[in-house]
Amino acid sequence: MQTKKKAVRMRKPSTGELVALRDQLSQLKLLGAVDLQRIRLLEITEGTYMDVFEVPSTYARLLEGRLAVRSPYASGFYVGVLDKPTLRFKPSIPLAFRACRLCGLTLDCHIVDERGALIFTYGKPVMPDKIINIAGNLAPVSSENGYCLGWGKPCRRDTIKYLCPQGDVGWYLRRGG
Amino acid sequence: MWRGWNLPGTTSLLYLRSEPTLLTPGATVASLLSRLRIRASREARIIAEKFGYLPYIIERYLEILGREETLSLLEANESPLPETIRCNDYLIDCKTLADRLEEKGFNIKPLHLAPHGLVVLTQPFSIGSTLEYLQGYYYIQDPGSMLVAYELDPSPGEVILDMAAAPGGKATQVLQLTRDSSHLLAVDISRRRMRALRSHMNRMRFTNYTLLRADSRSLQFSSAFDRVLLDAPSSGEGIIRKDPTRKKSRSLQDIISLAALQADLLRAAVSYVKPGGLIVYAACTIAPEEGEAVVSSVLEEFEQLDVEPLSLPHRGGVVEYFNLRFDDRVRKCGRLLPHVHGTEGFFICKLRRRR
Repeated sequence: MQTKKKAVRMRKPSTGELVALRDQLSQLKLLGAVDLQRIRLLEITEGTYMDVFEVPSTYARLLEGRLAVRSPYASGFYVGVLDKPTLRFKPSIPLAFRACRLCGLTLDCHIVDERGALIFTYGKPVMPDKIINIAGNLAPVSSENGYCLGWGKPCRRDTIKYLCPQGDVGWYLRRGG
Repeated sequence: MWRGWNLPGTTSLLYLRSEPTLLTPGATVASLLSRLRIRASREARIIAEKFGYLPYIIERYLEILGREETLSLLEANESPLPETIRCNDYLIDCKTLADRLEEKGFNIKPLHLAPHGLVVLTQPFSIGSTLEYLQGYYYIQDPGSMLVAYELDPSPGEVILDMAAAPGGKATQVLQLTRDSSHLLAVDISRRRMRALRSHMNRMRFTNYTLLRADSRSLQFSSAFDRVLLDAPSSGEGIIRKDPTRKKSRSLQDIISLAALQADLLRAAVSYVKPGGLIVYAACTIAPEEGEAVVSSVLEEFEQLDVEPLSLPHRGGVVEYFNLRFDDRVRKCGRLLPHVHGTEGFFICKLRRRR
């Protein structure tokens, strides 16, 4: 039986993909934080998701033009992941860092104390006694001294409301290499 | 015992010491190195046994350093390399970072050789597991490795190629030095190490890069880059302070095989750099087979190359090596030595392609 070879390619998003991405960034109040003109999708054939990158401004001229690099491993700012069948967007940790700059300005962010920050970076839920502010939904998480920690969302068990990690910077140690 | 091998490689400009005739163009670096005669003397064997090295390595040190310096080098190799970090001043002022780490109980002092370097003298817990590390405020990097990127001296707006980029110490440093405003194409062949490179780029918040997993010898770029960095795969003989197994892990035959690969990579680098552009060739080793012999062979093949002097403190390249003689211009290349510079051992050379 002949097996298909997996191919990787970086491509411009379709209109539908771009609209889905724009709408979900808008829900996160991060529409202005990403330049949609420079979005490219890194796709593996037969894969279930696509990596979303905001490629450098030189990318079109250099990589798609002169150097003709068609299948890079990564390029530019990593925005997140777009699920292939549903086009559901999952924001990346680098996007959390951009979002954290907007905490207290245009974004309501989760804020935890120093102990809570350590727990969060182990990928563990943070209990109310270590939470300084909890936002309404999926939002960036910051420590009280301004360190960006990733993404979190409120969880509830009985009457207790706590913070569940949805991607934390501890990933760089656990998986990043 | 005389040893010699014939392996594929590149043309070479080397002379035999007793027969100062230029080898014919077309001779490979490996076939040339196969003429290399290293016979371990009794003295070398005694020293090798005392310090736990292969005798040919000691004979080589005696040849390029002399007896007293060889012993100094071997003593220096017995003391572990101190942990050093490179502060990412794209995100944080280095003094502020040092203060924050001191508050957490780390004992930090500046690394005099490198403007962004900090030495971690004592650590209450691993320096690689602080919140500051996760914020991208520093990269754990050996001092010699930091110095290589300074020699590249990248400028904003330039297009730069890093041919063996993973896990990303020098690649992230290139973007740091240009405030994320050069375009870096970082290439590596290893899937596992490429993953680490991508993680470090994200962690340190650089965006002006493209990563490509490929064999750097077979890229389809011609005269495309302002600067090319080649920190070539090497025997790792320079990091004996970190990994003492390297005292015995590589035979001379292994080194000669590596030299052929390094020469292939350097030849490719010459084809990728623009006229007027700069190549920095580095290898984490003290071995002249991986240093001067590789550079010398490529100088022979490409007339349009010049060697530029290094700006970092270094020991100049060797021209006469046992029964071989290298191109005179390799004197301008340099070596970092553990007992002199307090770093790991490194060979560094800057090559400029003429316009």
